[in-house]
This record gives sequence, structure tokens and C-alpha cells, in this order.
Amino acid sequence: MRLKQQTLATAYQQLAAGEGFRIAMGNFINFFFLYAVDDRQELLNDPIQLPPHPTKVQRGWAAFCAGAAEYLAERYSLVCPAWAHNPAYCMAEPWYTISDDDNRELQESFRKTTPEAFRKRNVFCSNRVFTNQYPSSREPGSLAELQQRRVERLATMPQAEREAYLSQMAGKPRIHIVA
Amino acid sequence: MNRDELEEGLIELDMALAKAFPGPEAIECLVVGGACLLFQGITNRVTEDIDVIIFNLMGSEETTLIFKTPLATKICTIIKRVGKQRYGLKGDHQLFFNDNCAPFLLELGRNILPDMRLFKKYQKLHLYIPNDLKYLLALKLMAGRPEKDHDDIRKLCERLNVQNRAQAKAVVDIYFPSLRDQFDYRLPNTLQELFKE
Repeated sequence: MRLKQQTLATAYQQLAAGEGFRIAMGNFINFFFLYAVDDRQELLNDPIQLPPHPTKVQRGWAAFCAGAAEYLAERYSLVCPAWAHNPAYCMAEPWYTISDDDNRELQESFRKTTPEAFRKRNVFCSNRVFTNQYPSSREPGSLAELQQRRVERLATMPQAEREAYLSQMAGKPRIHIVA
Repeated sequence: MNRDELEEGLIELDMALAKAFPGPEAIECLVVGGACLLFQGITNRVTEDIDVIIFNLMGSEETTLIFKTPLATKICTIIKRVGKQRYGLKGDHQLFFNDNCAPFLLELGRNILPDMRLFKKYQKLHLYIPNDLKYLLALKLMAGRPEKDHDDIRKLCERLNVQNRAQAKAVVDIYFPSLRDQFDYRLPNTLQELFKE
């Protein structure tokens, strides 16, 4: 079994076919931040292919992918591919990446935090849409952010608390195996 | 990789590790993430990497592959070789079996892992999974990635009969009780977004 390179266009094809975000974009995230860090531009370059007579959901994911290309290009010093600027990839009405119409709280939260590259296409998502654990990530919640937070936290701790914290974090993880 | 492909990859990796390290010491680790959900039968979706937290690296004082020590480098070279041969991964990024999540999860858990049970014991690789699914739900709620984890959270909540914000908060409190951590990881927002009061 060979893993096929998961470009943004491939991810879109899967989303448009009804695949969930976790697999389609999750696999793209794996390639962008882990497996193909040196080939990131290639992952964005191929234009997405909108199916004939696309549904609202298929148009929504197309606009999302166009926003993703622009967002990632900006953050990782890549070139935003021309296809992403196609005005067809813009929704007439607000469109949310989670189709939970009953969840006003989630929609409200997305409206507040959506990065500009998505917002201008009338697509609303969380600002942690590409958050991942890989060291190459500069997304919110990255390893660098965690380390920075730890430094800041240690600096504000009283000495006794700091020593207790450092002692707890030192050495091997503590485990309990259940038979 | 589906479950069978994942297991085939692990067998191949185990054989390569056993050849390179003929001694009896094992790599013991807790499997988390998508592979763990797959192994536990929560989802049947494919996953492209195996996220682990190592707690015994063949008897050494080290417990991670992240730092480029001689031992970690040797193990990573083997993982990359299997990644390249088996999955066709390219370049320097073939670590389909990795512990990149470990710093996050150990920080959150204050270096304490949840109760776990043995899942698979190969020759060199001993894989454990959390004994209680609540740990996986707590992790996903702390991660705060609504798009990526929405479906998994829903499935775990169904399985664990978690129906509202207070119940979800109680699950997180079991493993990650620090209010400061919960705030840093936006837990109140996540709970508000995903659960009714």
C-alpha cells in the first residue's frame, strides 16, 4: 500500500464526494505539515475541479479550499495559486464548515475567529482549522506556542510552585497498567 | 491506512526494530489519536500516521523520538525506511509512527498517563491503549479543533452518554483538572460551541 500525495485538489475532490473533513483535510494536513514539508507549494498548485452543477456544499468546500490556499500561502511564504483567486470560489451567503444549523454558538464563534482568507470568501471556520502537533506547524496551538506558554507560566509561578511543577514534569511519564 | 494496513506496517516496523536491536528491551507506548480510535472500534476511518506517547524506550532514560539523540536517530531511521518502503513516503518526513503529540499531552497531564491496558505485544513494540474512552474524549475537547474532531467527539459522546456541557466538563476534569490549562486551551469556548447547557 502506497500513500498517495494528498494535495488540496485531492482533498477537495474527496470533500465534494462526501468525505468527512477529518479524512480529506486531515490527510492534507499530514502531508503539508509532516510528509511533504519540502513540497508544500506543489500541494497547493493544482486547481480544484468543481463538479458540474455543484451543490451548495460542494461550492462551500470549493470556497473553503480557495481560502485555505491563500491562508497557507501567506503563513508559510508560498505563492497563492491563481486558481484560488477565481471569484467563483466565493459564497453568496455565509457558509460554515460544520453544517450544524442548530448550533448558533458555534456559528457565532466562527464568525468571530475566522481568518480573513476565509471570511472574504464568505466561509466561516475556526481559527484552529489547521492546528496540528507537528513541529513544522506555526498554527495556533503549535509546539512553539506550547513552549512559549510554558516559559511564561514558569516565570510567573512562585518558587515553590515552580519547583513542584518542574519536579513533576521531570523523568519518565508515570503510568498505571490495568490487567 | 485501514486497520489491517496499519497492523501490517507495525509488524514490518517491529521486525526491523528487532533486527536492529536484538536485545530483549521493548519500546512501550500508549497509542492515541486516529489509530487508537480505529483500534478501539470507535471509527473505521483510515488514518495516515500512528500517534504514540513512549514511556519506555528500550530501557534507556529517554522517552521520546523528538530529540535527535543517537538512539532516537537510529529508531527514526528505521521508521523512515519502513515508511518509505511500505507507504512510499518521501524525503525526511516518513515518520508514520511518531510521538510528536507527546509534549502536548504530557504537559497537559503533568507527566501522568491515564490507566492503560496492553493492546498488542509484538517483539519490540508493546502497544497500549487508554483503559477508558473518556481520556480520548477529554483530549479531543482540550484540543479544540471543531472541524477535525467534531465527528469523533460526537461518536465518543454517544458511546459515553455525554449529553451536555456539564457532563463534558466533568470528563475533562478527570484528566486535565487545571483551570488554567482549560482556559489556555479554550475549553470553555469549545464546550459552549459543541454542547447545550
